[in-house]
Amino acid sequence: MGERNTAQAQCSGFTMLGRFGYLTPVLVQNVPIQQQRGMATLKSISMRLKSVKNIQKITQSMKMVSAAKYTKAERELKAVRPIGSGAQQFYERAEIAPLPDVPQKLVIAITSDRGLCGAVHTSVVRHIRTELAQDDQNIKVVCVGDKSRAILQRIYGKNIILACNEIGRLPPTFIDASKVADAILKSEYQFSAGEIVFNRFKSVVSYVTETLPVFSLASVTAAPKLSIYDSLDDEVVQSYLEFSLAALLFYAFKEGACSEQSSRMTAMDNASKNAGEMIEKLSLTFNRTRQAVITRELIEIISGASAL
Amino acid sequence: MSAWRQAGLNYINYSNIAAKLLRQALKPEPKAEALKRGDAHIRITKWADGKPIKQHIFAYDRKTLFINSTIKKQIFKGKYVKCKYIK
Repeated sequence: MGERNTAQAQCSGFTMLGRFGYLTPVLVQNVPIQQQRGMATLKSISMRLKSVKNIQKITQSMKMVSAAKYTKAERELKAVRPIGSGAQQFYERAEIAPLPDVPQKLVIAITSDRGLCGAVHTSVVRHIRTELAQDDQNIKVVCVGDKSRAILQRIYGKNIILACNEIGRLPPTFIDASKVADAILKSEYQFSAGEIVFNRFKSVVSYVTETLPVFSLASVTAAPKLSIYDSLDDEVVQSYLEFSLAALLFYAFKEGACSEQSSRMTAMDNASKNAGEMIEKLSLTFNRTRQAVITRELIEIISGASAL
Repeated sequence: MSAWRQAGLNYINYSNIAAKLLRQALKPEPKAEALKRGDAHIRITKWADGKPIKQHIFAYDRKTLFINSTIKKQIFKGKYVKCKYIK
């Protein structure tokens, strides 16, 4: 049946050749029709089975790799948490608020270069996108990691002032964070307040997208409660702010890296599970089809023999 | 004003230099581990108007050829001259 149809289709192809004198596209058009009509053959099923098995192997090994990276990241994160909370305390105690007459804001997106890790990157970007949707004039974005840059570039490309990549392959170091902090300080962008958007690691299966506040020197010196700190002069405040930006970034990097690895672990675990299900279904259809082919051949032989 | 700030450094640069020297002064066993923490891999590009800004490397020798990421340029009388081939 299928063969006759294709033969007809090819015949019409040849008459069209007479009309248009253009054969190749017609033949190319015929190929998918042929594939749609024919039942899934044994060979095509076994090929799919093989490719799904390969995918499962890849996702399984990715899971193992990210599990190893995750344990390391979590160990390092535990050591870094006090640094982050210490830097945060200063802003809270001194009750620093952004200057009302300087509306410029800085947003730092902490993601990485690598995907296949669930929604860690998208949830950071979504947070920033809702902010940018309200006000895209006074907010500038620093993208850490290719993923956030790739998503934000299309609609809010003009808001990006710095993009960092080559992050996520190896665990982030303080030098990485201080390079970013240095670049932000030297970018000549005048902002009164800012925030670091990152994923805070909660447990192996969960993370929350949070923000850390960052303030400029002008907002800090204008804070009403700064006097609770003793013997501060401008230089000490400036030095401390520079350092605390680097420390906060470092903390956010570590939290981000840890939640990324844990999320990749769960994502790859799910992927291997799904691949396993698919393999089961495919091998069932493979066996069924093989049996059908054998039965058909037997029927043909028997009916041929009885017709003699 | 401290000397390092007058030299154009900020506190981040200053403390990183101090940390680097401290790492180098460690005993060999902790040193290997500490040196790993001392390098950075991040690459930072400046952006403006939705596009990355090409960073130019300035060369002093007027006949020096150098390769930018996309185009090859030659410094000629202190100006950039685009050239197709490297002699």
